[in-house]
Amino acid sequence: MITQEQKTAGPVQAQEIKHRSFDRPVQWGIFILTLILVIFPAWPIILQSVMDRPLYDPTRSLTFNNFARILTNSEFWGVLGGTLLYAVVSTVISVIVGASLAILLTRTDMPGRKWFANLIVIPFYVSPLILAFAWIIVFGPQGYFTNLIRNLGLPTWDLYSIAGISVVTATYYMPYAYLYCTSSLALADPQLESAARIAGSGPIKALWSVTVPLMRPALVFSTLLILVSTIELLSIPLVLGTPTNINFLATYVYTNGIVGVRTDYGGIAVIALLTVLLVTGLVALQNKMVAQERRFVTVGGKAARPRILKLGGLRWVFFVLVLLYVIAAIVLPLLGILAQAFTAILSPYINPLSVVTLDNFSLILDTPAYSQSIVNSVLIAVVGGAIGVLFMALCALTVYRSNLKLRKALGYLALYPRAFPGIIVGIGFLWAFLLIPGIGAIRNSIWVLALAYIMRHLPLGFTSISPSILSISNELDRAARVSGATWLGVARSIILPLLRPALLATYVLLLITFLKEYAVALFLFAPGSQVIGTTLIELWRQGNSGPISALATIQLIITFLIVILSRKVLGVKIYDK
Amino acid sequence: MNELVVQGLNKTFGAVKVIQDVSFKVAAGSLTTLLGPSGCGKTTTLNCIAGLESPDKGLIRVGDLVLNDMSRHHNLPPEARQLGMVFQSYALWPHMTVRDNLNYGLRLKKVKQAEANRRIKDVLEMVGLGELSGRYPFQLSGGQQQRVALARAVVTQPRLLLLDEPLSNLDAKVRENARAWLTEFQKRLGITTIYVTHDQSEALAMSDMIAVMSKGKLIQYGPPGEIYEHPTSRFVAEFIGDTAFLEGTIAGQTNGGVVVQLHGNQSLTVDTDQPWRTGATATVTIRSERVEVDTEKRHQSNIIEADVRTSLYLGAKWQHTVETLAGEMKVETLSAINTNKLWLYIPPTAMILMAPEEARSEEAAPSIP
Repeated sequence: MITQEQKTAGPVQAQEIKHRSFDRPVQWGIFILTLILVIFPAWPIILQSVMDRPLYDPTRSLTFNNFARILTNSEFWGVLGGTLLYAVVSTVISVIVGASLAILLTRTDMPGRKWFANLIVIPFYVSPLILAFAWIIVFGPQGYFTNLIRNLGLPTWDLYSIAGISVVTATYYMPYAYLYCTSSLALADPQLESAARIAGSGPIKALWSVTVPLMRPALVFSTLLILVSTIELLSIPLVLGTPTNINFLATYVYTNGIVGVRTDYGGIAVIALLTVLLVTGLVALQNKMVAQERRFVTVGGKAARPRILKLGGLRWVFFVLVLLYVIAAIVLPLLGILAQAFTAILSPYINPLSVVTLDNFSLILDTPAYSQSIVNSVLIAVVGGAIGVLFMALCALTVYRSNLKLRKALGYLALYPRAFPGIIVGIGFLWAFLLIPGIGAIRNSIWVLALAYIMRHLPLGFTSISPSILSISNELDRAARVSGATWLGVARSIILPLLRPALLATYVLLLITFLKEYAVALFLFAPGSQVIGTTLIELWRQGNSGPISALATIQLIITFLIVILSRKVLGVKIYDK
Repeated sequence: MNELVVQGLNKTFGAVKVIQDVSFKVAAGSLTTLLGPSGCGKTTTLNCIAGLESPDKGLIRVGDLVLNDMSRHHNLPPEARQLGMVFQSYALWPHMTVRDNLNYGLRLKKVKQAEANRRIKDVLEMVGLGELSGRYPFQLSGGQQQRVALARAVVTQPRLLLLDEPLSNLDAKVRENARAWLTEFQKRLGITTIYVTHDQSEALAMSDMIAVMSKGKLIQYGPPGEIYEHPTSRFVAEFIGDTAFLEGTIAGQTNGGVVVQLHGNQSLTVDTDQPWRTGATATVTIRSERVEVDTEKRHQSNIIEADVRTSLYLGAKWQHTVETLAGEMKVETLSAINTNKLWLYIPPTAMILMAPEEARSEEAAPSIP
């Protein structure tokens, strides 16, 4: 038996092959690059929070006064309280509306579902900055629609209030809740509902007691995602809150960090740090709750036709409600911004056709600083996005498909920028550049912005690519390894080609996101490296709603061209995988 | 020709010892099966040979090439091992044609394109898929995919062919044909082959040698006939074939065997070349197909009376679960029976006696020097 066999195995004197490949250096390179990218904006903030003078001042020394000063400042606590109130209200509205729309549009016979499905995700593609301007034009104190209502002698509303800011913010984030709930509903196994029907429950009861609870992971996930995003959001509170002095964390950091003459660097650093900690806590909570929600994961439901709930007469009631929402929250504001872009003055008292003009566009296109910002935005999106996708893909490959010891740590690292609000990434990069001597040359280039964008949106690309990597059987890699390919060889010849659809989708997602990005750039941009978002804010400071609308229209057109082209030509779907 | 030597292989995942001191040797050109239930460590052993997982301890050598020698921290990555492997899912790269799938490894080995083309053509003809070289994997049937995977694994002329349950995704009928076909293919190439399966009939039909594994240990290693006829533990006997285990005590000695007293005052004469002490407890191991079933009592000794509990029609035969005073067992008949009472005759040569510690089985591992 085996005892005999083993003895004959005998002493080993045999040839060995020396093996060398670039696999390890590349994996380590990706790890170190990610580490640097994540630490880069973080360390100056941490350092500044315990320094009594600005970082560039060599006489600075260690202190904990910054923390004491901020934590005993009643204004700070007021801002924090207001931020949380605003975040919770916005989140609740957007999740309730998004989830209801998801059920109505995917599981009922409400008329016009296909049309609505396309319309209600529009805010997903629009910069929140533009959405805020659009709402002002239509629903602001001197907005077109507000004036119409006022003329009728009816009471009006105040958009420049916490309620108003929350409604606009909810409109912006609603598509996130809608998309997560929709894909959760699409994946739910219809047999589960069938089983409830066989067990004796009616169609509405089955929907309510089986399908809706199964949406819980999507609800939990989108709730926390939107909560975090709202806390980070700068644009809508800035544009709508400034006139009435409503300050939230992001706007507080922005106004004190950039506008003040004697800027309190230490204080800003402390607030930035506290904000990052708050968001980190929420993100950790999100991960924990999502992990616990595993039991709701349904298995085996593959693109089966979902049951459609017959609403009877109610279908028209819901139709009218959804129609009103879509018109008021999405269609009217966007039409408003288009109308404003093409007119000299937009008011219910003047026939808009009598004041049609292209002056707003020519102002933007003829002013070099403004037109340059369009070129910069597109360049950063196209080139930075491409570099970003490649880097994020390699990052995800290292996490999920290598045996690097630190691959798990790399996974956390790649997701950590989620805890960094865009405005704080901007401050961090800015201060880091101030501290590192001799890099002034690249300081003013748009590629600094591209780098910061990639860092800030690393989690987005990472989470967008990961599911596709996980869905590729690792036997395909193993087969290639056994055939003689190195890890890099497998990545190049097997996985990346198979990932092509996911990479394209992620690229389009980054294109749109980079085009929308403004918060990161606000602190970082320099003359010559302005982007659409920073120019919009500059125009807003000057109070020029015509040119703002023209520039916003240009950005909208670019974005929708990208979306339509990627769908028609490349067949890319960014969401609903 | 390359023999494979595995020596003192150990691997743990966390606290679980997935492979414990596994050693075996595969003669050049032969086919050895690693057989066992899921979780027995057979696939991990295969992956260690392939370099897809690294053992904690042990040595793996193919011919004169040392793949692993963990005592010297030597661990070749899979791409440097010059092996061929067929995966359970076939793992054909979906974005490449059949030709490209085969060409991949040849290109990496820097084989000249003319030579590569010739080899691809030869191998595809050998597996009977010469016409399909331009197809993509999704355009092939399961059986065709399996043969492409095999062609891809051997086209690089590897030192060793590793097969990870390659037939488990095929329909029953196709699988039976594939068994014979695969055995012939392996013999024709004369390539040293390791075959992993949990299907005992596959292992018996195809192997030169079988290594039965359980809970990370190698339980028994030998040619199929020996594994089947002379299982050394209850685990092996139970895993391979339908086997009954009847408890008893040695009641006396005969010429070339012993008399075993079973429960219910029945006794069986069992041939054995091992010395058994009278009075010792023993387990009688009986293969169901070796039991001669009768509706009346034709033999005088080695006969057990049984009541039929259930009868299953299996097509070629009937399988009956019967109850005897000594315990429950399964027996077979070629035709249906219309009585509830059966007489089972068990020839003295058809049984194996096991001592309690062997019979308790699963934990029992062969002694390893």
